[in-house]
Amino acid sequence: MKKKLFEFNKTFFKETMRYYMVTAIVFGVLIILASISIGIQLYGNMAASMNFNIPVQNIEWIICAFMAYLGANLARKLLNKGTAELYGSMPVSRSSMWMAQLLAGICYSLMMIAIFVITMFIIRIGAAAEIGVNVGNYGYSAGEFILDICRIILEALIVFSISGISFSITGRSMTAVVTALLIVTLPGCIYGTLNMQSVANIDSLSILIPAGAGVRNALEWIVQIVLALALPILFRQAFLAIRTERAGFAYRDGTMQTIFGVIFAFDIFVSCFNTNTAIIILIGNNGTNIVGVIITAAILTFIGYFAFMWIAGRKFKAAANSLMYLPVSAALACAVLLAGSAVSKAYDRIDFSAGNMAYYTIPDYIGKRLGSDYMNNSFYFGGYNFGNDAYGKGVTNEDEIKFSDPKQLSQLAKVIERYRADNNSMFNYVINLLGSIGIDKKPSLYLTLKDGRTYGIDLSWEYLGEFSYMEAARANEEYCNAMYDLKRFEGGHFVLEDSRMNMFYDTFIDELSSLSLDQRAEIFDLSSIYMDLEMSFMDDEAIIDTESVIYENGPTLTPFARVIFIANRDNSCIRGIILNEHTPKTLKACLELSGPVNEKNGSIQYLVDTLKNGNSDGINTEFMIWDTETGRSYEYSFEYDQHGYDYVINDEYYRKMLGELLMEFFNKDINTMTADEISDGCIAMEALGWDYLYDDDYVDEGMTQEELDAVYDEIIAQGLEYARGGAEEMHFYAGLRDWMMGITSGAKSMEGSRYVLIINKCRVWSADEDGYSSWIGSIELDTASNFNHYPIVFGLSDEEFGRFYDAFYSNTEYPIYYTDTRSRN
Amino acid sequence: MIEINELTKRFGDLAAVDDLSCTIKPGGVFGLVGVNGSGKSTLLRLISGVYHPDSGSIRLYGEEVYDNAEAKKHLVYIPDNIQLVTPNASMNRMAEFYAACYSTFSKDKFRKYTKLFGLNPNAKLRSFSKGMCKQAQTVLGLACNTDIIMFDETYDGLDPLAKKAAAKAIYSEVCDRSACVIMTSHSLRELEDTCDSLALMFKGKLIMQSDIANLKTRMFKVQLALEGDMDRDSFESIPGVELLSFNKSGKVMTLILRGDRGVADSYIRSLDPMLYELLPLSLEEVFSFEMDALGYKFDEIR
Repeated sequence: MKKKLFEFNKTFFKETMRYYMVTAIVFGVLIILASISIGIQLYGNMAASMNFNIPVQNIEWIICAFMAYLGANLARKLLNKGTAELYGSMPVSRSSMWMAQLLAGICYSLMMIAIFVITMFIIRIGAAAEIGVNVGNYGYSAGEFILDICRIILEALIVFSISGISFSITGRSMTAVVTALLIVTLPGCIYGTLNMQSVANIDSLSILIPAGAGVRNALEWIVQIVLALALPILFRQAFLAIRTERAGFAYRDGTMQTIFGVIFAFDIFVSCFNTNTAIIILIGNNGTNIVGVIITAAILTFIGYFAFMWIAGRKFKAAANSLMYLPVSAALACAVLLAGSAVSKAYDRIDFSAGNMAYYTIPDYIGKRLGSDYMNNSFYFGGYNFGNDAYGKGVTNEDEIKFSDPKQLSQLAKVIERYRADNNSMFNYVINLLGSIGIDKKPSLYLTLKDGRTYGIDLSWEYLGEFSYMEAARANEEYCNAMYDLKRFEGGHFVLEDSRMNMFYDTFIDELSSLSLDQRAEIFDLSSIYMDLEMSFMDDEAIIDTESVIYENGPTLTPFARVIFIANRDNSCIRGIILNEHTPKTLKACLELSGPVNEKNGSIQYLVDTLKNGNSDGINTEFMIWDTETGRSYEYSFEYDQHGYDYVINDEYYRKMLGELLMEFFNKDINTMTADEISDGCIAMEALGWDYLYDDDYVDEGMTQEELDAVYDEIIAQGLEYARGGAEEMHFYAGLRDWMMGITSGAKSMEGSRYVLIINKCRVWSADEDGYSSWIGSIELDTASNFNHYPIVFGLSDEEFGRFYDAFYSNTEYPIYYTDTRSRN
Repeated sequence: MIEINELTKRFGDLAAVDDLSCTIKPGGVFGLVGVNGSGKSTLLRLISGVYHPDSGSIRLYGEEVYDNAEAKKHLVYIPDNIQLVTPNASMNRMAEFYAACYSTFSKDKFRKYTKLFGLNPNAKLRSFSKGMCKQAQTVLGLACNTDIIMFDETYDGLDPLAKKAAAKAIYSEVCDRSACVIMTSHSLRELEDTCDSLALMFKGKLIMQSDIANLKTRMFKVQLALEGDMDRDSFESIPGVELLSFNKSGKVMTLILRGDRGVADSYIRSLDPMLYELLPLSLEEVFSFEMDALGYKFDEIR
């Protein structure tokens, strides 16, 4: 009797919904917990709370787990002896059961997504209410949200089907799980094997689909849709074919068991070639010994296959007999390996010389790459922790802009050449014994050759010094115009605690429109000067003279203020922008608002109290001083650690802690040493590091006492010098602290002041003789990660500024702690 | 109504049902008897659509049963071991499940039979004893109001009172709406008083199928005493009547005969017996001789 594809039994569907209600509630609770977990991070942190899409991807795994359970459970109903007769005899067709399960899964999945959205919304409202942000400021994009949901549902259908197919094919749970894993990993295993031998770090999908990002994205969607449509139907067929009487058997029949055994063996065999892990463990080489690799692979494959067939079939003799099929696995593996070799050879023959390159394009908003790849690695910058989703969302066609400058292409060719020389395998960082399923790594850029083929190139940061495509992008007028197209900012608004900033929208747009592209890049936090600074911390070879960058009149490390700007009405274009002297009016507006805000939230008093804390031993602060007349700005970041110096000169402490070390190093009894000697000795050791004690350059076995004394004298001399410098520095910074305390206590408004002090961060801590114990006050006003804080702003008198300038700016002894930004003559 | 034609079902090398053909008519109680492993449960599972036949066909009102919702709505299968929709299911929960699957499910009947058996419909079924589970299953099956109700080991685990109640309920269904009840047992005695027809299975095959009334009509047991001395030979030549068993104790003879009862009666009365009475014949005795006639040793089958 021919069966309809779609059979729907309404009452059985209701029964199925009821059946899974408890399960759905359990998963719903997980969703709520996930929402709360995400939401907890949002409170007090406006930037994070302005996550500009509803992060449904965070619950993707929960939805998929639920659907996997449903898929498995449907098959189990007919294969479990406790339910098989019940469901098998019911006047409900299997097709109806399948449809009911599928629809119930989708319904509950959508409900869970709804729960997540509602919970996140409630939490965000709470977070926003705390910081006074209007709901209307949220940067949700309906289009992206719907696409995310569609994607999750498609994935859920795929997972549902794979799980169901696996459990339909087998009659035992353990075997079903293994079967599911095999189905899931097989494509990745084959794919990885085909590509692993290529040495160029070219995006792997490009091998199959040498097309640009747009085509690839479309193809990814098509593949996902096709799988989501086809796999459930395959599941249906497998479900219809279940034979209840096979419950308890590993597979429906011996043929199927053999097939999966062969697949399992294939997976193991090629995985040994895909990863070095197993090889290193077993034979301790780097996998270049092909004979060793083959032997290892063969041994592991034999063991794995035999164990699988024995466990699945529960018969030793049958498992032994099944070994005759093992050569099939080996043959398949060899075929794929040989094919991979051919593919890779063909691939590596592709001409990536500069002369054969037509152009490259950058697929993602450049800032996103910046934020995710580099900023978070920079301790000194604190990171623009918007998160990939929030930062720099929405661009206009910049991925269609072609970069064809011969110099850039030449640099890119050199990078690719260097990849090849370094023998970077694409899957160097993918260690997955059963094949790679994570092949959706997005490339940094797309390179199109003259014959039209396009390849994704992933540039890791260690090659950044040789080819900074972002720098090139920023220098490209067309690209920058596309990114900073003012038309996209029509109807936009600021997202800040005080919505009065929106009154200055026009002011900001006017100021922005008058800026050069370089200046706009700074405003949008993409200045190359930052890039250079980052690189200096990332790659020692990239910037040779770090001192000249950091120590002498370098660029501003900390902007005056950061704000989030939603550029258009549909919230699809969002930028994190900085306000500096290029946008003086907008900056002034922002700073003027800061006073009332900080008064209201108690930040100013908190700062004053923190600085005044008599128990403090250390202070770390960052501030800017803005000369509103000349536009000049001074950035200051310093750390003063009194405890550290007390630590050095506290001989009681050293007597207690370091007696043994002193004895060992100087061969002198601490009790015979004077306090000065001990102190000096400690200073010396502290200055030179404990390792000095064991430094063979200075101390040799068999040295005479006189020779040791000479070394000791030398160390002391250096240590004293250090201590002297330290004492002076202590005095220096104590003065700075006093200066700050005076200003903050006075709390002069910036109105009417030429000089404006803008404090972004201030931390104070205390310590005891054993070390630093705790922060006793910390105020982070850096809006990089927390947009609900305005910097604390004070007006400076001319005298106060003068003290600062005389004491610090012109004091070249301590250049590491300040920089001068953009001198304007 | 149920037509089974050359049905075979194998599990590996074992033929649980081996080329079996039979017809089960509507109405009445059909008993399926056989020793453990004879294929009774397998046959029921095949009829109910739980198993897929390896060969042959099972038709219910002319339609194949397997994965056919339309056909299966005419029957309900009550397995030997209770099957629960969820591990913590109560009778009420199971009733809801059955009601969702069977449009003919009667909640009134469910309540009525639940009361009859004295069961708590809200209690978890896993807390029930074996007998209580069986009662619960019976209630659920009967409440489905299907044309065919199949019981596997109907009275297994039931106490005498519960057996009586179950039998009464089953009869009620048969009488009120001409339902067809198929029940299996390994005990002839158990089915004797309940079934209208019986089939005997052995090693996957259907050895014999017959109406019980017909069986008992064809075969009868008499006890007589004669003044004269007569032996077995005197009764073996009764025309149209076969002597199956002859037992003499003194002057009292006990005979089991198969054939025309009237002819046998006339013949015996012609001998002017001092004692002549018809004794009840147990089904076991009937089957024993019938099997013997077919060449099976009944003791092997029992």
